[in-house]
Amino acid sequence: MRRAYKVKNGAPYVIMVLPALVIFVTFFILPLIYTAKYSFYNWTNFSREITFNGLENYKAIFQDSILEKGITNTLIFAFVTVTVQSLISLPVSVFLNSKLKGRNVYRAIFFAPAVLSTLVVGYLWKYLMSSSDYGFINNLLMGMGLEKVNFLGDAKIALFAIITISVWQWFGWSMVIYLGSLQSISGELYEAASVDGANGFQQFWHITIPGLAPAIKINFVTSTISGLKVFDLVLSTTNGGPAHKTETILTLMFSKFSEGNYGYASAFGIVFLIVSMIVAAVMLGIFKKWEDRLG
Amino acid sequence: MKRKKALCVLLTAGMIAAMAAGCGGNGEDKAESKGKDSGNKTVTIMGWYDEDDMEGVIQAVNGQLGGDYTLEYTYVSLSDYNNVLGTQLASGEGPDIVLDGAEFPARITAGNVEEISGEEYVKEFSEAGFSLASKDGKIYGIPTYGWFSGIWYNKDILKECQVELPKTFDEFVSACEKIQAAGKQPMGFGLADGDTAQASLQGYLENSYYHNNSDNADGIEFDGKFASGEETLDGNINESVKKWYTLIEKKIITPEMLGISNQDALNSFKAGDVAFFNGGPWQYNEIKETGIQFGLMPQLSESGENVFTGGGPAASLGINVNAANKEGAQKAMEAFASVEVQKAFVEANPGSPSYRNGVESEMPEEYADIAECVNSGNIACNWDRWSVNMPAQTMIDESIAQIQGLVSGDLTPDEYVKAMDAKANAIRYEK
Repeated sequence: MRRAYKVKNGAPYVIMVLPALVIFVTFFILPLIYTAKYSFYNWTNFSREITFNGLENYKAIFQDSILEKGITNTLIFAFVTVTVQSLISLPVSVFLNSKLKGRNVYRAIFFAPAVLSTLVVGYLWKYLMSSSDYGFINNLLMGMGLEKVNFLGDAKIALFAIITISVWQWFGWSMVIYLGSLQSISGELYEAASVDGANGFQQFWHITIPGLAPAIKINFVTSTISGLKVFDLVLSTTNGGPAHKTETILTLMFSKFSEGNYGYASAFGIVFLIVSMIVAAVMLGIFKKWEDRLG
Repeated sequence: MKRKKALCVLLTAGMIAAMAAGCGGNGEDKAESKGKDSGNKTVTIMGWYDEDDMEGVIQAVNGQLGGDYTLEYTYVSLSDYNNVLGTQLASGEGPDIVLDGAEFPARITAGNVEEISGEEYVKEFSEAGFSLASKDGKIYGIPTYGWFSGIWYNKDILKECQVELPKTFDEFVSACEKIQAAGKQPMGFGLADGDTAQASLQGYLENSYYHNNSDNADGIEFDGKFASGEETLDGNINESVKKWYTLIEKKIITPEMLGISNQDALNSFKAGDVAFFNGGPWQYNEIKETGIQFGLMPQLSESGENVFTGGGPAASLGINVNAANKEGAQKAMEAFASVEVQKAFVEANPGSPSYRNGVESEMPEEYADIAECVNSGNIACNWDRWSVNMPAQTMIDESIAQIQGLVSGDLTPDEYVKAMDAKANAIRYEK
């Protein structure tokens, strides 16, 4: 009787969740299961037969010297992007939380790039950073009497040029999250601290930072996951070049897929999933300890 | 509370009903479209050629089909083409007519296209046109037209720098140095996304390794051995790659070009700022529109004799084994093989040769320097020969990436050759 009552009461909610659940299972869980399955198969464009080949795809991946480059670049991209993005967005959000004239206009300007498609942003910056006579930034540098910089064509700096574009696009998004969190910190805390003689830095360190802890956690975790997933920006700027120097795990996975080697590409996908899970777990562990320390 | 719950159930039911209606509608559409197909009408084809460029060809095909069928063309950008077509065919779907270039042999190997050896229209094409569309003596596709590449040159810059049109590779390097000394840019390359340096190297290898080279007794047969894995590039083509590398050593190809797109490089040539630019007939109309004085010359050999330039069948057309409208596809293939449609292909690519009997192409006056090479049939490229046992596009892409390494100074010519061998070892169909 009690069970029947529970089902009856819960039924509308189950029905409401069902459409989202169906979409989630269809477009996430099922592809994930199939990707895991095909990572153990020899499935290519060049044969109509799909045959089980055990761990061969994984063995081939770890013998592929380019994977190491892809993983290293992905981790550098995620780490540097998240760090620089936060280092810029945190002070900017504190600044724009003050009673500044025209602060809403500044907020809108900084957030605007996040609304654009990453592909569009990539193609735009590729044009701006071009080392040809048509490159806007190099024209500007040369106009100032400086040397041309081969932003996207020099293997030593190309990855950092892409990171710069990513930070430009997304720091406004981080800023908005910090702003939301800043506005929820009670002004009374700052007043009390002032009365107790705390200076600006002490107030920032002991009130603002602990108050922002949940936002910092959300920003770091989501930005790191986005950083690990970087694909469209690399595709539209360098396409992994020059000489594979800006390849990331997902651009490599895409190129294996384009080559028609679906089994191998699936194994790449699973490796990416495992790397992402490890990084996310480490980050969550670090933040949990930090939050525990803050109390 | 009860009213809220009732409203909630009502809204949810409405949402599910809407979704179900959507699905139902889709099913009906599908059934309707299937019915439409079985009654004929549309024959589908996909390609990387711009819709404007294909307009004349599509009109000619539809003219030949006489209203019984209509050809429906879908454009997919070249960078995505292999991916889109490959996945569609792998899932047993795809357009009725399969159009593909260097990857056509891969489609044959995968069993994606039907054998058409017995069709009457096949006899209307010369054998060279089937180099990408045949396997074990069987024919699976017909060629569209012949593509060739060469080197565009700016007549005014050559005149201004008092440079004669080079006839050998060494003369070409000297000409570039002279142009450089005069403060002009000798060659335009957009290595950020272009394949022009790869085309330049391939052209040099065709002239100085595969042909005209007494050290390579196998000639172009070497590529058959390389494709099967019997031979490696390393230990064979190294010296030729080193000679071509002179262009990088002498700063004719520079690291700065790694940050330039192919379109920007072409724009520089069109603006009259660059003396030489690797390209081909597909760029003729846009260069002509600028009003600069230009010509097209072939790639160069060491002696200036027996010159070869890069090229081959531009793309081949076959019938998808899983075509939704097989009857229409067969009729469309007959239409594609007609003189009228083959002429339309040539008109869209001025000066390009045709493999179809009865279709002559007229070369514009700017092609005077390349005409002899093209007319004597000295058109070839190694990746077409590799494609019998490996996906050629993957090798092209790898070569583009490794040449970037050569230009940036991260790789030596020997390392380039070894990297190409490593890629080939990883992707051969049969090992």
